Amino acid sequence: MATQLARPTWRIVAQTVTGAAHDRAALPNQDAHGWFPEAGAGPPAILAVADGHGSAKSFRSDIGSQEAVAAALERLGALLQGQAPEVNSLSSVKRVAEEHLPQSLVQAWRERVEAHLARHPIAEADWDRLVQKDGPAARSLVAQEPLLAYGATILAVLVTEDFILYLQLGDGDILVVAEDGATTRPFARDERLIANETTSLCSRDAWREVRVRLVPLAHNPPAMILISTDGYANSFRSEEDFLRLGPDYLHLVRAEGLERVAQDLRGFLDDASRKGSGDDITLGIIARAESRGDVALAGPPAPDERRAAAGEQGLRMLQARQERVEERLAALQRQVIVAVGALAIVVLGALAVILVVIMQPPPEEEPRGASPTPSFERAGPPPASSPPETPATGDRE
Amino acid sequence: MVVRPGGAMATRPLHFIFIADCSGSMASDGKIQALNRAVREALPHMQQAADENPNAEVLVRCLKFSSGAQWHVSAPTPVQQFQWTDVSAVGVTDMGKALALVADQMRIPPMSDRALPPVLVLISDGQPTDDFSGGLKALLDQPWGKRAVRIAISIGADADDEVLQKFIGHAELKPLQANSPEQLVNQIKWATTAAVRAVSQPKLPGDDRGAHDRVTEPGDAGPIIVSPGPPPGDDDDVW
Repeated sequence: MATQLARPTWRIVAQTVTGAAHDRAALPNQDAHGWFPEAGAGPPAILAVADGHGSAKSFRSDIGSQEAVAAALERLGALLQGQAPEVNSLSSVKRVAEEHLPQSLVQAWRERVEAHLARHPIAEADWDRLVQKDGPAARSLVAQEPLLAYGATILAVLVTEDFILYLQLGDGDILVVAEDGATTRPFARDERLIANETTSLCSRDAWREVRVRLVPLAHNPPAMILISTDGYANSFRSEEDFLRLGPDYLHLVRAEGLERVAQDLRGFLDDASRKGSGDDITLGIIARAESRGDVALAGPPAPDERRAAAGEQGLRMLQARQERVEERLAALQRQVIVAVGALAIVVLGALAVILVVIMQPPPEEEPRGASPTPSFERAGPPPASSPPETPATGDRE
Repeated sequence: MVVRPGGAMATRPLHFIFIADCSGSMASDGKIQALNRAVREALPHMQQAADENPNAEVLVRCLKFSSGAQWHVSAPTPVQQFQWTDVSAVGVTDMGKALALVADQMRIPPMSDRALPPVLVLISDGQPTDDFSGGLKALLDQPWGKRAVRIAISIGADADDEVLQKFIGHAELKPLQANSPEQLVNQIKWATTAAVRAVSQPKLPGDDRGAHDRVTEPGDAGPIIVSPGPPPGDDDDVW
């Protein structure tokens, strides 16, 4: 049975739950998430997660987070399309991502929420609720900067065949999980982001706060990437307890399969919000699988399996090489046979000519004026005076 | 059964620290007795407020200052278990040393970066006798000190409201005035319950509203500026 060579594929699952505290206060879930392609398998693959601020001033942050996800998918998708032919190297992609993507993303979000605001102006009832909750100064502030109403963070990851691009604005967490479960962050933690303070898409010069990191996939691609809103990390006792999510989810996916984990996510996140932060929680998982049919995410091959795989691959290469050599030999044999055959014909022909010449009686004198007649082409019954037929070996003079 | 991923979970800690003036002047006019009574009366309300938000773990401490400063209750104690032991009044008003001691506890660690903004309630009837500015600077130099909800209760006419205003650090918020035992009870009740109800909401860079303003109803992510309003017994001032 032929073995298909493995090619990494990336699969996406995600889930969001309304926070326990939001449930108690009858507030909506202000998180949002989305991915590309719809089938949830790449590369390329994009996963975006956003967290609406949910404060009194950000009373449309559920819309703001949805638009943040849409803007991230749009702009990262555009980055992909720009790869060929204009952007044809990792350094070019990196430069475009770092120099243009932050402004492009923030601009896309602003255009989206401004369009929403134009379609749905803030109603007097919304203003009244804001003043009731936060005072008249809040109304003045939002009236001056209406995008505050839509305030949200954004986290996104783009995976291609060549690189992974991480993007973050505001709080929340991106965790990178290696094959052995080691879990790291692509971005150092922003020490300013405590006490529920966050950078935001609605801040002035928000693009300056967008962090972008591009990592080539040539070596050691991660086994899994986790993206979560801050409600998840805030539900754990410590950073160490939170980082244990990396190896734990990796183990679960390998043991149970990604689909099963996707089914269990809601329960996991509900439990975390109830026992922990009380906040909305969204978790997205990008898991790497070796693409052999529909095989679920596989763990790293055991050493024996790696050796076996290497042996199979070597055997296939040797077989291919042997086949190529045999084909060349066969072609050479055919050429030799043709050449020998041709030589034999020439030799035999020459012998026949010699024999004919030796055995032929002395020529009779031809009548004057008669033109010589080709002897080996019969144009009709030979004249009575013509010599007996001889094998056609050549002209005779 | 699938095991839940991740390590131990916990609700978010909300550290609440009383910073009580126990200088000699507090012994006059029954102020120190009023303070002891006020905290005792406020505790059940504070516990009730904490119960309303099961996703916050309210941890209470108390620091007292007079000639020097020391922890009266040093361990962060869950509010449901917190019991008040009376303080007594003697000595001068080393408020700066008190703030420096609090500053040490506002570092990360021992504070966690996942905590809710801590609440610091400073209660005083006099003027600092030491380096107040140095103590305040030490406090505000710490990430959690700067972000703490800082409330001040001014007892009587001799309290230095200017100093207390600097401690609050917010122009629109004034020291709560307590000119009678009843007012002190009400102000401490308010300071404990309203602040404990302060739950999370993001604060954007450039938003000059401090954590003080983000005092909210339980479970409501939206801020409500809660004001204690005119306390009852205004016409019954004794301090």
